[in-house]
Amino acid sequence: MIHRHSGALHLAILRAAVFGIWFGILFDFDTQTYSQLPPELIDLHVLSGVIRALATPALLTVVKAAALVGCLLCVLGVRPFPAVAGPTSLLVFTLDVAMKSVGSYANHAQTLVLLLVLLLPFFPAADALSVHRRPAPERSPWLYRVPLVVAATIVVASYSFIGARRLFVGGVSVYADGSMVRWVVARTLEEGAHHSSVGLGVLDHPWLAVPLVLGMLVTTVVEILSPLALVKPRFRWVWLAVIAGFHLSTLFLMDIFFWENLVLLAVLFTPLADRLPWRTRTPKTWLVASSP
Amino acid sequence: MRTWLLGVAVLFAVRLVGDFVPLMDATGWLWTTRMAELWLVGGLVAVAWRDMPLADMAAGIGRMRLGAVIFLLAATTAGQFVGPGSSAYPFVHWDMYTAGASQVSYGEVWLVDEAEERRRLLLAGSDVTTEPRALSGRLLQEAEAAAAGDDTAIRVLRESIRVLADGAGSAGRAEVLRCVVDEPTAAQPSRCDVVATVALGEP
Repeated sequence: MIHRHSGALHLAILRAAVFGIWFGILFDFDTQTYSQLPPELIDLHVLSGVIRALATPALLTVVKAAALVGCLLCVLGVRPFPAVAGPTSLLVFTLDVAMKSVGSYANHAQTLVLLLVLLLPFFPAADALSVHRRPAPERSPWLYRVPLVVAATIVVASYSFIGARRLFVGGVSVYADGSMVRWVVARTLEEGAHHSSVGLGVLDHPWLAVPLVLGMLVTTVVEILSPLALVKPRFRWVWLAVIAGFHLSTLFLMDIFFWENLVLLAVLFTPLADRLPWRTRTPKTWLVASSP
Repeated sequence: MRTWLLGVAVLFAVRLVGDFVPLMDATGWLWTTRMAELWLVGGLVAVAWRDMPLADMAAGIGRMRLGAVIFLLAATTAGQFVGPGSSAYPFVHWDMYTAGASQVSYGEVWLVDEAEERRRLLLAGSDVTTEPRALSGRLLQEAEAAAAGDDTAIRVLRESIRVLADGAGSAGRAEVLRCVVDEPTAAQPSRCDVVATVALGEP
C-alpha cells in the first residue's frame, strides 16, 4: 500500500502543496467585480445565502485577505496547525463556493484540492517543513500515514468513478458516435481559461478522430483501474503516465487543464520527497517504489 | 474476488444488451448504472485497502479524526452515488464526458456599439470564477429565460454583462448567442443564433 511508511515530511509536503495551490487560486479572485454582480446570479449552492451576505466589496475583500494570510501561514507550517488551518479551510471553502455559485455548473478542477484542504486541519501536517525550530512531539505514525492514504484514495476514487460512469452510462456508443470530436471542437470554440485552439485541427485532419477515440478508451480503462495505483507500484507509473498525458491533452485539445490534480499526483504518487534538497536532513520514510 | 468479477461482468453485459433491447425504464437504468458504478469502484477500492491494518489506523488517529475521515469518504461517495448536483459541491457527482452527445452547445456574449462594431466579451479576464465556461453557460441560461419573457432574467443579464464588461464602454447592447456543435466541419465548426439582446444603457 502506498504511504505505508510515510511520515511527517510527506504530510508536510502535501500541506504546503494544497495550501499553496489555494493561495494561487484565491490570489486571482476579483472580489470587487464579484461583489458588483447582481445577487440573483449567486444561487448554485446551498450556501448561496451566506455568500450573498458576504458579497459586499469590503467584507469579501477582508475574507479573501484572511484566507490568503491563512494559506500562507499553513504553507509555512505555523503551529498550532489546527488553529490556523481550521479557519483557513473554512474561508477557502466559502470563497471557492462563491466562485462556483455564479456558474451554470461547478468546475471540478478544484474539487479534489478542496476535499484535501478540509481533511488536513484534522492532522498534524505542520510537524515537518515548519518555520518553527522546536521539534514536534512524538506521535503515532498513523497520524501522518492515514491522511496521506485517505488523500490518495480520494484522488484515485474520483478518477475511477468517472471511468465507471463513462463505461456504464456511455457504453460503447460514446466512443463510436462522434461525441469525442464534438466535445473537442465545442470546448475549443468556447472561451476557456487557457486559450488553446489546437483542438480545431481535428476538423482539418479528420483521421485524428481515431487516435482521439483510442486515447479516450485507454484513459477510461486506466481511470477505472485507478485504485490499483494504491497497491501496484508498476501500475502506478503507467497510471501516472496515462493520467498526466490525459490532463495535458485536454489542455491542448479542449482548453481544459486540471493543473491542481497534476500537483497532487506528483505529491501523492511519486517519490518527490526523495528528490527534494531537505530530504538529506530527514529520515528516509518514502518507500513507495518498494512497497507491495 | 470471483463474486465481484462476476458481478462486474453481469452488470456490463446488462449494460451492453440495454443498447439493443429495452430492458427497463429510465429510472431503472439510472439506479442500475449507479449500482454498477458503486460495485465496480467499491470493489477496486476494497482490493486496494484489503491489507490495511484498519484497527491500528483507527486507534492511531483517534475517534474525532476517524469521524472526519469517515465523513469525508462517505460524503464523497454519496455525492457520486446520489448525484445531488452543484448545490452540494464539493460532494458532487463526477460525470464529465460520460454520455454521448449528438450536439454540444455553449454560450457567447458579444458587445455591439453604435457603429455596429462587435467584440466578444471575454469572461476569463473577469476572474470571478475559475472556469469562464461556467459563467458563459450561466449567462446563456439567463438569456434563455429572458427570451421567454422573464423580467428578472433580463435585469440580471444586463447588470451582469455591465459588470463583467467593466461598464461596457461604448457598447450600446449585448447579444447572447447559443452556439451548437453537431456536425462540425472546418468551414463551419458551429452554428450560432442570438438568444437574447439586452440594451446596456437602460437602467
